[in-house]
Amino acid sequence: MSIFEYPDPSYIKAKLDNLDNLNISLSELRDAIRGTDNRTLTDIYNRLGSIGGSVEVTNLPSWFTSSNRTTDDLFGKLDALDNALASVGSDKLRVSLVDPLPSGSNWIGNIRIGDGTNIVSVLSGTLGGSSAKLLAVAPDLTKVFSGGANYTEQEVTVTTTESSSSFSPPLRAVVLTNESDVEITIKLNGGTVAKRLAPRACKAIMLFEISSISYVVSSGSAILKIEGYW
Amino acid sequence: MQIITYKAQSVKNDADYFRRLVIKELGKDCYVEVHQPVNIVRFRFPSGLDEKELEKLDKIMKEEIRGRRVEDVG
Repeated sequence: MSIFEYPDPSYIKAKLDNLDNLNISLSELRDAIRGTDNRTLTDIYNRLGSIGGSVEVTNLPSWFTSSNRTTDDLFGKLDALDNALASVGSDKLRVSLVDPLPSGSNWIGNIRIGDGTNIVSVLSGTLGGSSAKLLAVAPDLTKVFSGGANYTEQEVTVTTTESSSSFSPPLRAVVLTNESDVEITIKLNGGTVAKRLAPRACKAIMLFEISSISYVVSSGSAILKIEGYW
Repeated sequence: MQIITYKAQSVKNDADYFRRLVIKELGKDCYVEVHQPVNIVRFRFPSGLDEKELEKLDKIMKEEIRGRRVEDVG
Protein backbone atom coordinates (compact mmCIF):
# COMPACT_ATOMS: atom_id res chain seq x y z
CA MET A 1 0.00 0.00 0.00
CA SER A 2 1.40 3.40 -0.95
CA ILE A 3 0.73 6.80 0.48
CA PHE A 4 0.77 9.75 -1.90
CA GLU A 5 1.11 13.33 -0.83
CA TYR A 6 0.03 16.14 -3.11
CA PRO A 7 -0.96 19.73 -2.57
CA ASP A 8 -4.56 20.61 -2.51
CA PRO A 9 -5.39 22.21 -5.89
CA SER A 10 -7.52 24.80 -4.17
CA TYR A 11 -4.49 25.81 -2.03
CA ILE A 12 -2.35 26.19 -5.19
CA LYS A 13 -5.05 28.28 -6.80
CA ALA A 14 -5.23 30.58 -3.78
CA LYS A 15 -1.48 31.14 -3.87
CA LEU A 16 -1.53 31.87 -7.62
CA ASP A 17 -4.35 34.31 -7.08
CA ASN A 18 -2.08 36.22 -4.64
CA LEU A 19 0.35 36.94 -7.46
CA ASP A 20 -2.10 39.61 -8.55
CA ASN A 21 -0.96 41.53 -5.46
CA LEU A 22 2.60 41.73 -6.79
CA ASN A 23 2.16 45.04 -8.55
CA ILE A 24 5.79 45.93 -9.22
CA SER A 25 8.04 44.63 -11.93
CA LEU A 26 11.62 43.50 -11.34
CA SER A 27 12.96 46.46 -13.33
CA GLU A 28 10.93 48.85 -11.22
CA LEU A 29 12.29 47.22 -8.08
CA ARG A 30 15.83 47.56 -9.42
CA ASP A 31 15.36 51.24 -10.20
CA ALA A 32 13.87 51.87 -6.77
CA ILE A 33 16.96 50.39 -5.13
CA ARG A 34 19.37 52.31 -7.34
CA GLY A 35 17.71 55.65 -6.66
CA THR A 36 17.52 58.69 -8.91
CA ASP A 37 21.28 58.71 -9.60
CA ASN A 38 21.29 55.07 -10.67
CA ARG A 39 23.90 54.16 -8.09
CA THR A 40 25.22 50.65 -8.25
CA LEU A 41 26.97 48.46 -5.72
CA THR A 42 30.17 49.37 -7.55
CA ASP A 43 29.54 53.04 -6.85
CA ILE A 44 29.16 52.26 -3.14
CA TYR A 45 32.29 50.17 -3.14
CA ASN A 46 34.30 52.91 -4.81
CA ARG A 47 32.94 55.57 -2.43
CA LEU A 48 33.86 53.56 0.67
CA GLY A 49 37.34 53.12 -0.70
CA SER A 50 37.62 56.85 -1.19
CA ILE A 51 36.51 57.58 2.40
CA GLY A 52 38.91 54.99 3.78
CA GLY A 53 41.78 56.66 1.96
CA SER A 54 40.97 60.13 3.34
CA VAL A 55 40.65 59.14 7.03
CA GLU A 56 44.31 59.34 7.82
CA VAL A 57 46.12 61.17 10.58
CA THR A 58 47.83 63.34 8.01
CA ASN A 59 44.47 64.62 6.87
CA LEU A 60 43.38 65.86 10.34
CA PRO A 61 43.68 69.61 11.05
CA SER A 62 47.18 70.64 11.90
CA TRP A 63 46.22 71.85 15.41
CA PHE A 64 45.05 68.33 16.25
CA THR A 65 48.47 66.79 15.83
CA SER A 66 50.55 69.85 16.54
CA SER A 67 53.36 69.18 18.95
CA ASN A 68 52.23 72.27 20.85
CA ARG A 69 48.59 71.26 21.17
CA THR A 70 48.12 67.65 22.04
CA THR A 71 45.02 65.98 23.35
CA ASP A 72 46.74 65.91 26.74
CA ASP A 73 46.80 69.68 26.60
CA LEU A 74 43.07 69.73 25.94
CA PHE A 75 42.36 67.35 28.80
CA GLY A 76 44.52 69.46 31.07
CA LYS A 77 42.54 72.57 30.26
CA LEU A 78 39.26 70.75 30.72
CA ASP A 79 40.41 69.42 34.10
CA ALA A 80 41.33 72.94 35.21
CA LEU A 81 37.93 74.20 34.18
CA ASP A 82 36.27 71.28 35.93
CA ASN A 83 38.16 72.06 39.13
CA ALA A 84 37.19 75.72 38.94
CA LEU A 85 33.54 74.78 38.62
CA ALA A 86 33.75 72.17 41.37
CA SER A 87 35.14 74.73 43.83
CA VAL A 88 31.88 76.67 43.79
CA GLY A 89 29.39 74.04 42.81
CA SER A 90 28.68 72.03 39.76
CA ASP A 91 26.54 74.62 38.04
CA LYS A 92 28.11 77.93 39.04
CA LEU A 93 30.95 80.06 37.78
CA ARG A 94 33.08 82.13 40.10
CA VAL A 95 34.14 85.49 38.83
CA SER A 96 36.98 87.60 40.12
CA LEU A 97 36.89 91.21 39.07
CA VAL A 98 40.42 92.15 38.10
CA ASP A 99 39.73 95.00 35.74
CA PRO A 100 37.10 97.72 36.09
CA LEU A 101 33.76 96.92 34.55
CA PRO A 102 33.46 98.60 31.18
CA SER A 103 31.17 101.56 30.89
CA GLY A 104 27.86 100.92 29.24
CA SER A 105 24.20 101.69 29.26
CA ASN A 106 22.90 98.40 30.62
CA TRP A 107 21.80 98.08 34.24
CA ILE A 108 23.06 95.50 36.63
CA GLY A 109 20.15 94.14 38.62
CA ASN A 110 19.45 94.01 42.30
CA ILE A 111 22.88 93.54 43.85
CA ARG A 112 23.75 92.24 47.27
CA ILE A 113 27.29 92.52 48.50
CA GLY A 114 28.60 90.91 51.64
CA ASP A 115 30.04 87.90 53.36
CA GLY A 116 26.70 86.18 53.64
CA THR A 117 25.73 87.84 56.88
CA ASN A 118 26.44 91.52 56.47
CA ILE A 119 24.80 92.32 53.21
CA VAL A 120 24.68 95.65 51.49
CA SER A 121 22.04 96.13 48.86
CA VAL A 122 21.72 98.77 46.19
CA LEU A 123 18.05 99.30 45.59
CA SER A 124 15.77 102.12 44.68
CA GLY A 125 13.21 102.79 47.31
CA THR A 126 11.42 105.23 49.51
CA LEU A 127 12.86 106.47 52.74
CA GLY A 128 10.65 108.42 55.09
CA GLY A 129 8.18 109.27 52.36
CA SER A 130 10.82 110.79 50.07
CA SER A 131 12.01 109.07 46.93
CA ALA A 132 15.67 108.26 47.18
CA LYS A 133 18.26 105.85 45.91
CA LEU A 134 19.46 103.92 48.89
CA LEU A 135 22.61 102.08 49.70
CA ALA A 136 21.09 99.87 52.31
CA VAL A 137 22.96 98.01 55.00
CA ALA A 138 21.51 94.79 56.32
CA PRO A 139 18.79 94.45 57.26
CA ASP A 140 17.69 96.01 54.05
CA LEU A 141 16.64 99.61 54.61
CA THR A 142 14.21 99.65 51.77
CA LYS A 143 12.34 96.64 53.03
CA VAL A 144 12.58 97.77 56.63
CA PHE A 145 11.14 101.18 55.93
CA SER A 146 8.42 99.53 53.91
CA GLY A 147 7.27 97.80 57.06
CA GLY A 148 9.83 95.03 57.44
CA ALA A 149 10.14 92.86 60.50
CA ASN A 150 12.80 95.04 62.12
CA TYR A 151 10.89 98.25 61.57
CA THR A 152 9.24 100.25 64.30
CA GLU A 153 7.08 103.32 64.20
CA GLN A 154 5.64 105.38 67.04
CA GLU A 155 4.14 108.81 67.43
CA VAL A 156 4.73 110.57 70.71
CA THR A 157 3.40 113.79 72.14
CA VAL A 158 6.20 116.18 73.01
CA THR A 159 5.55 118.65 75.79
CA THR A 160 7.55 121.25 77.66
CA THR A 161 8.69 118.52 80.05
CA GLU A 162 11.61 116.64 78.55
CA SER A 163 10.79 113.02 77.92
CA SER A 164 12.34 110.21 75.93
CA SER A 165 12.06 107.01 73.95
CA SER A 166 14.61 104.25 74.38
CA PHE A 167 15.49 101.20 72.33
CA SER A 168 17.32 97.98 73.05
CA PRO A 169 19.12 96.87 71.01
CA PRO A 170 19.78 100.35 69.62
CA LEU A 171 18.14 101.41 66.41
CA ARG A 172 20.51 101.40 63.47
CA ALA A 173 18.75 104.14 61.61
CA VAL A 174 16.08 106.60 62.60
CA VAL A 175 13.81 109.00 60.79
CA LEU A 176 12.25 111.68 62.99
CA THR A 177 9.40 113.72 61.62
CA ASN A 178 8.01 116.79 63.30
CA GLU A 179 4.33 116.63 62.46
CA SER A 180 3.42 119.84 64.25
CA ASP A 181 3.81 123.57 63.92
CA VAL A 182 6.11 123.79 66.92
CA GLU A 183 9.87 123.33 66.83
CA ILE A 184 11.10 120.27 68.72
CA THR A 185 14.46 120.04 70.44
CA ILE A 186 15.96 116.57 70.45
CA LYS A 187 18.99 114.96 72.05
CA LEU A 188 20.40 111.58 71.13
CA ASN A 189 21.91 108.78 73.22
CA GLY A 190 21.83 110.75 76.46
CA GLY A 191 24.02 113.45 75.00
CA THR A 192 23.80 117.12 75.71
CA VAL A 193 24.01 118.41 72.18
CA ALA A 194 20.59 119.58 71.16
CA LYS A 195 19.29 119.41 67.64
CA ARG A 196 16.36 121.47 66.55
CA LEU A 197 13.74 119.87 64.42
CA ALA A 198 11.87 122.50 62.53
CA PRO A 199 8.06 122.33 62.33
CA ARG A 200 5.79 121.25 59.51
CA ALA A 201 6.94 117.79 58.52
CA CYS A 202 10.63 118.55 58.83
CA LYS A 203 12.59 115.31 58.94
CA ALA A 204 15.86 114.27 60.49
CA ILE A 205 17.44 111.09 59.21
CA MET A 206 20.16 109.49 61.31
CA LEU A 207 22.14 106.52 60.12
CA PHE A 208 23.92 105.49 63.28
CA GLU A 209 23.05 103.55 66.40
CA ILE A 210 20.56 105.27 68.63
CA SER A 211 19.55 103.88 72.00
CA SER A 212 17.59 106.88 73.24
CA ILE A 213 15.97 110.02 71.95
CA SER A 214 15.03 112.85 74.29
CA TYR A 215 12.63 115.54 73.11
CA VAL A 216 11.08 118.71 74.41
CA VAL A 217 9.34 121.82 73.12
CA SER A 218 9.69 125.32 74.49
CA SER A 219 5.96 125.96 74.46
CA GLY A 220 2.77 124.16 73.61
CA SER A 221 3.08 120.60 72.40
CA ALA A 222 4.09 118.74 69.27
CA ILE A 223 3.72 115.35 67.66
CA LEU A 224 6.96 113.58 66.87
CA LYS A 225 6.91 110.54 64.61
CA ILE A 226 9.73 108.10 65.22
CA GLU A 227 10.56 105.53 62.55
CA GLY A 228 13.51 103.26 62.85
CA TYR A 229 15.00 99.83 62.40
CA TRP A 230 17.37 97.79 64.44
CA MET B 1 7.73 88.07 64.97
CA GLN B 2 5.37 88.52 67.92
CA ILE B 3 4.77 92.09 69.01
CA ILE B 4 3.50 92.59 72.54
CA THR B 5 2.70 96.05 73.86
CA TYR B 6 2.06 97.11 77.44
CA LYS B 7 0.66 100.38 78.64
CA ALA B 8 1.19 101.76 82.12
CA GLN B 9 0.58 104.85 84.16
CA SER B 10 4.26 105.63 84.24
CA VAL B 11 7.42 104.05 82.86
CA LYS B 12 10.64 105.11 84.54
CA ASN B 13 13.07 102.49 83.24
CA ASP B 14 14.55 102.38 79.78
CA ALA B 15 14.35 99.71 77.09
CA ASP B 16 17.62 98.11 78.07
CA TYR B 17 16.30 97.48 81.59
CA PHE B 18 13.24 95.62 80.29
CA ARG B 19 15.28 93.67 77.76
CA ARG B 20 17.66 92.41 80.43
CA LEU B 21 14.71 91.56 82.64
CA VAL B 22 13.06 89.48 79.94
CA ILE B 23 16.29 87.67 79.11
CA LYS B 24 16.73 86.86 82.78
CA GLU B 25 13.15 85.76 83.42
CA LEU B 26 12.16 84.15 80.13
CA GLY B 27 15.55 83.23 78.71
CA LYS B 28 14.64 84.85 75.42
CA ASP B 29 16.15 87.89 73.76
CA CYS B 30 13.90 90.43 72.16
CA TYR B 31 13.74 93.95 70.83
CA VAL B 32 12.32 96.46 73.31
CA GLU B 33 11.26 100.04 72.91
CA VAL B 34 9.99 102.36 75.60
CA HIS B 35 8.13 105.55 74.86
CA GLN B 36 7.76 107.48 78.07
CA PRO B 37 5.38 110.21 76.91
CA VAL B 38 2.76 107.61 76.03
CA ASN B 39 3.93 105.13 78.72
CA ILE B 40 4.31 102.27 76.30
CA VAL B 41 6.68 99.33 76.49
CA ARG B 42 6.76 97.24 73.33
CA PHE B 43 8.44 93.86 72.95
CA ARG B 44 9.22 92.09 69.71
CA PHE B 45 10.05 88.42 69.95
CA PRO B 46 11.45 86.97 66.70
CA SER B 47 10.52 83.42 67.72
CA GLY B 48 7.34 84.37 69.55
CA LEU B 49 6.15 83.38 73.03
CA ASP B 50 4.04 80.41 74.00
CA GLU B 51 1.05 80.82 76.27
CA LYS B 52 2.96 80.18 79.50
CA GLU B 53 5.71 82.62 78.57
CA LEU B 54 3.14 85.24 77.70
CA GLU B 55 1.43 84.77 81.06
CA LYS B 56 4.79 85.14 82.77
CA LEU B 57 5.54 88.33 80.85
CA ASP B 58 2.13 89.70 81.81
CA LYS B 59 2.96 89.01 85.44
CA ILE B 60 6.39 90.63 85.17
CA MET B 61 5.02 93.76 83.57
CA LYS B 62 2.24 94.00 86.11
CA GLU B 63 4.76 93.84 88.93
CA GLU B 64 7.22 96.22 87.28
CA ILE B 65 5.03 98.98 85.93
CA ARG B 66 1.50 97.85 86.70
CA GLY B 67 1.22 97.55 82.97
CA ARG B 68 -1.55 95.89 81.05
CA ARG B 69 -1.21 94.25 77.69
CA VAL B 70 -2.94 96.37 75.08
CA GLU B 71 -1.78 94.77 71.88
CA ASP B 72 -0.50 91.38 70.85
CA VAL B 73 0.30 90.97 67.18
CA GLY B 74 1.89 88.04 65.46
